[in-house]
Amino acid sequence: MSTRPLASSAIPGEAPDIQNVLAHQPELRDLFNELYAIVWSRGLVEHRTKEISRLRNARITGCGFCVNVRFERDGEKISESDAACVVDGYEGKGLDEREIAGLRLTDALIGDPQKVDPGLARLVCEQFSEEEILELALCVILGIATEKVLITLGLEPEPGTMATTVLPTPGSVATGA
Amino acid sequence: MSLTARPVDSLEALLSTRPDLLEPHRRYYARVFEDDVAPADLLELGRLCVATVHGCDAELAIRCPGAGVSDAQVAALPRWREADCYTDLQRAALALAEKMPFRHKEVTEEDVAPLREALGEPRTVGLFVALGLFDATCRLRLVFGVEPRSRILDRPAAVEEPLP
Repeated sequence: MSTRPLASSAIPGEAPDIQNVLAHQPELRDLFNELYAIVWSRGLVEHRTKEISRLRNARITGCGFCVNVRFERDGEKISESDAACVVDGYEGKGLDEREIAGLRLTDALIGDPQKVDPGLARLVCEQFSEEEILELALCVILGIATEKVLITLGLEPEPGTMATTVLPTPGSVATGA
Repeated sequence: MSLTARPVDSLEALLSTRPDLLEPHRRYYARVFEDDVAPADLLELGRLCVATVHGCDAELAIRCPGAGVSDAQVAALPRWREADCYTDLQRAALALAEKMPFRHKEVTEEDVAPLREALGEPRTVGLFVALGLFDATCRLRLVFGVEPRSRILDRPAAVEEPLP
């Protein structure tokens, strides 16, 4: 693992970060941002459920940047006590059944992925419509794809150096979308 | 019981109930396969290498002969380190692709340097982005049980074509 950047910024004079490194591929970056914005801000699944799943993904995939980010939308962001619930054993941490079902789907995607067994499928389908399941799954896998780039290109902060950082949710009014 | 009420044999079928997500996903996925993102042979080998690590038969069933990857190279992917049918650049791409699903924390400067030297920074970044997406796509196919269906395509995705 490297926390030394393995790629340069496309913008002269700037220290490399995920956005200015992806600026080497501006059209690809813009198409990703368009898709990610729709998933986050024009979807069916409530912000909180997606944010809990995103943080679970960040923790398990091991992204030192994403785990410290909180997406805020319309003044709403997850509490730090809820953010702390996404550790193993989250079933007993006060999350509701829909949030737990979302985390179980997230775990299926971020672990060693296999076709979900009928029991998990039933649990997820009891809490989400098919359209919502697809949205949540895309939200998670696009997060995985981004985290893999962040991690493999050494764009994470040094451990312990990044404070919790609130960012506008992709596609929200605050981003100018 | 599965996550979808119908069997699916493609990403197009999987996402068909969410056209608002399908269309931008198709645009993004198709863009990955443009030559200015990364060379076609590296993308094809990387895609199939990631799918091999995952054991994703639905992804492996998609083949693109025009990418410049021979049948022998595809057949050798499970033991690519011992095979002599790859160029040094292809081997560098495979070393990176192999780590993307589960060993992403192990990527080092030694993995990146030969790619950067041969491809330049923009296409190296493009290859990383593509491999991250291939990993994510295999995960989606596997968890949703997308059924393998043999397809011979010019490229794995195009804006005007259904997502395989």
